[in-house]
Amino acid sequence: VWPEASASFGQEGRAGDGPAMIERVRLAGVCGHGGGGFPTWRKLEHARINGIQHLIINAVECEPDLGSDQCVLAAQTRAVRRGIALVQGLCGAIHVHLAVNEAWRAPANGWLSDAEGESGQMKPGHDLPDALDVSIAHDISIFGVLAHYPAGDERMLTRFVIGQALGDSERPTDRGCLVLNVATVAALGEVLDGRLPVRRLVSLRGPAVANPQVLGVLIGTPIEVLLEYAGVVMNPALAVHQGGFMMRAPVSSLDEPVTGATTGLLVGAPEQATAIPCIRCDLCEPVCPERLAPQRLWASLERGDTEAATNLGLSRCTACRCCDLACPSNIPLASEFRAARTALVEARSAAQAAALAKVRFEQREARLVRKAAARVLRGKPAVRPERGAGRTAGVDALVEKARAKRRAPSRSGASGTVDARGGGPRPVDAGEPTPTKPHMSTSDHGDESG
Amino acid sequence: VAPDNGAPAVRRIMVIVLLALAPGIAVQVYAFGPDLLSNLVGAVLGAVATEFVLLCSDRRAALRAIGDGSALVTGALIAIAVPPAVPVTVVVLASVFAVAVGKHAYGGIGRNPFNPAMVGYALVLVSFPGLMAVWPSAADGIVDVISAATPLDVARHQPLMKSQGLESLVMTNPGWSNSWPDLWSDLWSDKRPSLGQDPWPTIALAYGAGGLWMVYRRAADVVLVAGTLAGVALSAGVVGVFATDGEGMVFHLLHGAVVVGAFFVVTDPVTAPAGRMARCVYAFLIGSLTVVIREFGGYPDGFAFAVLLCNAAAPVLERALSTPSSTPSP
Repeated sequence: VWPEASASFGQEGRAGDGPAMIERVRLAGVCGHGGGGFPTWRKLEHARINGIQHLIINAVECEPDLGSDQCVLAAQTRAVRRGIALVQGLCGAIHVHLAVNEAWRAPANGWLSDAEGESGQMKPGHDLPDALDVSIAHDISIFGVLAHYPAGDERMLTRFVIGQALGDSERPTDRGCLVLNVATVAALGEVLDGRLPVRRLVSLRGPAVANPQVLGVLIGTPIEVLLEYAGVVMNPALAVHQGGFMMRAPVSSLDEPVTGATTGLLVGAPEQATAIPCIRCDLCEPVCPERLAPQRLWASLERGDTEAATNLGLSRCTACRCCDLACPSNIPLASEFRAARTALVEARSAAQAAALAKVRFEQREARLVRKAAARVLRGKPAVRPERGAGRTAGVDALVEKARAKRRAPSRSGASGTVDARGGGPRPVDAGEPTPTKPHMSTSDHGDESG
Repeated sequence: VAPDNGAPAVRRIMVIVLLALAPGIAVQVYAFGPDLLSNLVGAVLGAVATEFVLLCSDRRAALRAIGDGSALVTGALIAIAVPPAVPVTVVVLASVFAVAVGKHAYGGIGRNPFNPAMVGYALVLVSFPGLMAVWPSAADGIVDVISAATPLDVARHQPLMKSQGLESLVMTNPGWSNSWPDLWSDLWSDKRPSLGQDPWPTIALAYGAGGLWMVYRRAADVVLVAGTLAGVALSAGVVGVFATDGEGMVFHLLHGAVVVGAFFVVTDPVTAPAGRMARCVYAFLIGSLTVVIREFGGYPDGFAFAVLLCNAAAPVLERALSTPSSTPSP
């Protein structure tokens, strides 16, 4: 079911069209094509609701052995511009920044100009308001980044654009920046034009690839098919990784498909060597782009001190693996940090869920006690016998309070009732209906054990 | 750059350290005779064997631990720290203790708070004070051994003996230098180069040359080396101002364990604090404490004790002085 928003998108007021367009993006299954794989519609939704000032298109591709982003820029320039139009349609007038490797700045400028010249479709009246068209033509600032890994990290780029570092747990969107990979933007462009983004560009490199290349691949193609096509000599011991040399994840099976997040395949790269203990050499500290102290972070995690790790900036780690390469003991620092961070986030959300559950539970308890008190006041047992153990801990107090209230206006009448029921030193206790007593005792017991 | 190529670079670092020690060892052998070589073999074998025995339950782990070369370095440092005339059994004892108690009692490489070589050396220093004080006289460049006190010994005890009217007992050693050695002119003279009355400055410079190469190869943190030497120089300077009978700055720098220690002992990353600032202070403290122990303490050379004391202070220094920046600058 494909929401019909294309023809009118951006013309009849964004407020109405935005959600429909985001629904289209969601149905098209667009995810972070830079390798993250995060659902793009959620980023867009967040940006649409909270507003952004900057769209940063990430085509830096600082990984030493990837080339797909540059190819996207060269081959799908029009789609990229359409993707920008989509984001602008959602979020209004924003500054658009294209971050490329410094060496590619001039060519990128050329391609974007070409696309501008050729695209008669982008004249007013197609499917964009005039203002947007103008802003597209003149508002993309292309900036070259020295492709010094990890220059293409979104935290780095955001820092570059807004001139301030992001805080520990801040996302770029918290500073009004939406960072999208250029291939993701191209996919959004296809969505805007009513097509499904079903293919992506995949870099194919590594010691076992005789002829490194970037291939346009249908998403869902088994990796094995891709490797066969590229003429890779298959053998069972061949290590295949997704991603570039730095940020990579091993492919568990060659039957795995190419996904939207498959930026490249690294074939035949050596496995991570066996780690030996940390010798505290601190060679990892000067290489950290976030200026963390990986060695101390590692030590605090090793002794299970997550609080110290948090204070050392664990959540700022981008898992770029620079420290891994510097480590003379071959410790997989970055993946450990990533795992610890994930565990920490999970623990935090579990704690939040538990706190919420506790509040709900307490409210329910209070509600049940109020109900029970009301029943007692109506002369029924505090708990219906068939309900099992009840909660009557606060019932007595509530009942007494209510009775005192009721007694207050006509004191004589109330006391008369008590006298009629047999009097005694503690009229309220005596006045309670007898059947409640067994239930009360069971509930007391239950409360203790609970 | 060849990352992820299997062998941990720790081994590469240790090989560089061992190579950097070679020139100093060669000069030391030249000055004091070949006894050092047997001590070296004994200490290294003792250290490696201890490591193997302690880890033999897991053979692969044992081989890996020996393969990283750290035990070799520990053994070598002990052998060059003790006087060559010391029986090889004492040297083996020192290196076994160093590896067993100084390192593996705390959980092996990376977990020991104290420099293992200095732990072993300190053990034999306090256990066999007589043996440890006697260095061969190098007056002839050959050892047919006339044992003699080192310049540091005399520097330590001379004022004391003077004050007690025992000046007749004080050895007169006019050749001990408070100046740079003239090895260069010696090398070019007709006769076989001799290290002169006082071989220590030459030995120190040889270790320094190897150490500089090691720093150049990035196997040691230059901050630690410079901090130690600065600590010794400054403290010796201050002492020289206030105490007229104190030794000179150059004397302190070129005698005893200062140079070899600054390059090869203080630079042990395991026992140094993390962070640049903490490392500066740590190294400077070691240098100053060495001079303080030499001038005011009970031992002629206090380097080992200075290192051990500062090892103990390293965690405090690290916590106090090196907090990583909370947010990076743009």
